[in-house]
Amino acid sequence: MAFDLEGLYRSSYDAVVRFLYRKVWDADRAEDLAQEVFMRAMRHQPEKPRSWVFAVAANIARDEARSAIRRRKHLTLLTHEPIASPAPLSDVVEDLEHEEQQNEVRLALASLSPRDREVLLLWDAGLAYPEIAAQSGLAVGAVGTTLARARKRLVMAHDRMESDRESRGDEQRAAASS
Amino acid sequence: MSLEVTSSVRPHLPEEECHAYADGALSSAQRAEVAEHLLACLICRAALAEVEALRARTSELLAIATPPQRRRQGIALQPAAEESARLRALRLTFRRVGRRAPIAAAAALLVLSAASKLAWQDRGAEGIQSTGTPRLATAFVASPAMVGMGLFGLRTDSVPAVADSISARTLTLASRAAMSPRVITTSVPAGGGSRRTLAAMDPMITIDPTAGWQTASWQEARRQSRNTVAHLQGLTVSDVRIRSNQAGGRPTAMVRQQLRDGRAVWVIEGTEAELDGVARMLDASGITMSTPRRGRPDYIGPDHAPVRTIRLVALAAYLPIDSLNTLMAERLTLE
Repeated sequence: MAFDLEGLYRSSYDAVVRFLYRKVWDADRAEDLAQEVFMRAMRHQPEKPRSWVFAVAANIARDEARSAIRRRKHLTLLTHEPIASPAPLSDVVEDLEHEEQQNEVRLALASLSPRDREVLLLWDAGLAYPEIAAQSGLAVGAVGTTLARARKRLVMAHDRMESDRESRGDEQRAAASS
Repeated sequence: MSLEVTSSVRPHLPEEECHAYADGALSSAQRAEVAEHLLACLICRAALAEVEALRARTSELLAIATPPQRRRQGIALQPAAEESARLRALRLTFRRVGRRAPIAAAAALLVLSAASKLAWQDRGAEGIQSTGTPRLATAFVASPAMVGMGLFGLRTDSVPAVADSISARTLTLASRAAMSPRVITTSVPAGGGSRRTLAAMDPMITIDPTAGWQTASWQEARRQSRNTVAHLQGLTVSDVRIRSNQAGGRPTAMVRQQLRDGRAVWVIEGTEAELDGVARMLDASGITMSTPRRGRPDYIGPDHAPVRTIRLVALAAYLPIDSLNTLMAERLTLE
């Protein structure tokens, strides 16, 4: 069967961007890397394109994490440049709120073991158990166990953070009223 | 008399099997086995429900970790119409009626009158049972269902010209009825050639649980709700209604979405009190509401001491409550 890049792109692009975003935590970078993934797919014409793109995305994200450390120095210089078009205030507030929520999820994800996190993200990207197993090196039978643990830990870690934040808020309120 | 209790052939489902079952990752034979066990085992049913909740919560958390520009793109939606909700509802009614061309004229009025749950009087000599169009009689009897059809069964995406299948006279009558609350009458030839008169009064006022709600575009609703309009992923949004909250904070939002088969589901998100009100309204029309679950909380009050307000999300549709709960667990996003 002919390799259908367009179909693959349409069915997986968003999922690949999300998958990469949860690794690099930078929207533009995630889009760039996703483009790169599909460029490679075009060259390789893989047999199992869907699991292939996520395998490549995982590799690219790993390389990216290494080079990001080298780039950081450069970025700190750039952040002092003025932003071209400031967003409206409401957007800023929304973004801040979302950023806070996102940060909690990010920390919760970071608290998982690398393998648990990988399996969870692959599952969320829509891969089936055998595909997840092939990519993570687990037995198919172990995917369920890993997912069960990953889900529980993610939710628990997140809830703990949320309740911490709430109790902090209560303390602040108590301090403000006294 | 002694009852011998045979112990279940299978031990309880291990947790990972519950996850695999919920993820649809079992072979059909394994699936059947699990399903059979679930049927008999209350403990495992409860365990599965817990797993499903955990699954849904995980998806929800991961959905928060999505690139910002993708969040803002939202769902493609037709721009909100300027026309009033009533007129809109009317046009939709006609669209539906238009598909049933042969009985269009009579059905138009019947849908109007049945939908409004208001007076429709038989001024002729014969009763409903003698009407030449039994389908209409059924429609009338099933009045709450009709309310639902008016509400749920319609598409708002494109409303083409309807006059081709409905006479101009009916259209005029019905639109007049929709625009001003007064009695209108018209004569419809029944089967035997005798003429029967139908009266419809003040249609459309009582049928719409979102009446009095502001029709908003997707973007506007998102702006007012600070980017959190609960909806189901992957389904076309066909209507968005919002109503500001007395307590302040984000408005209560109702998002109508189309299932693949054309039926519609409302996603309702608001404070506990608001949702309660909507639930009571829906109850009266026979529409099912899902078990509500927590939405994203709201923070109301002065900046230095905001009060956390719990918000709930529920689905409403003509579907069994189990289907609604599953739909919500699988598709709901709070973005």
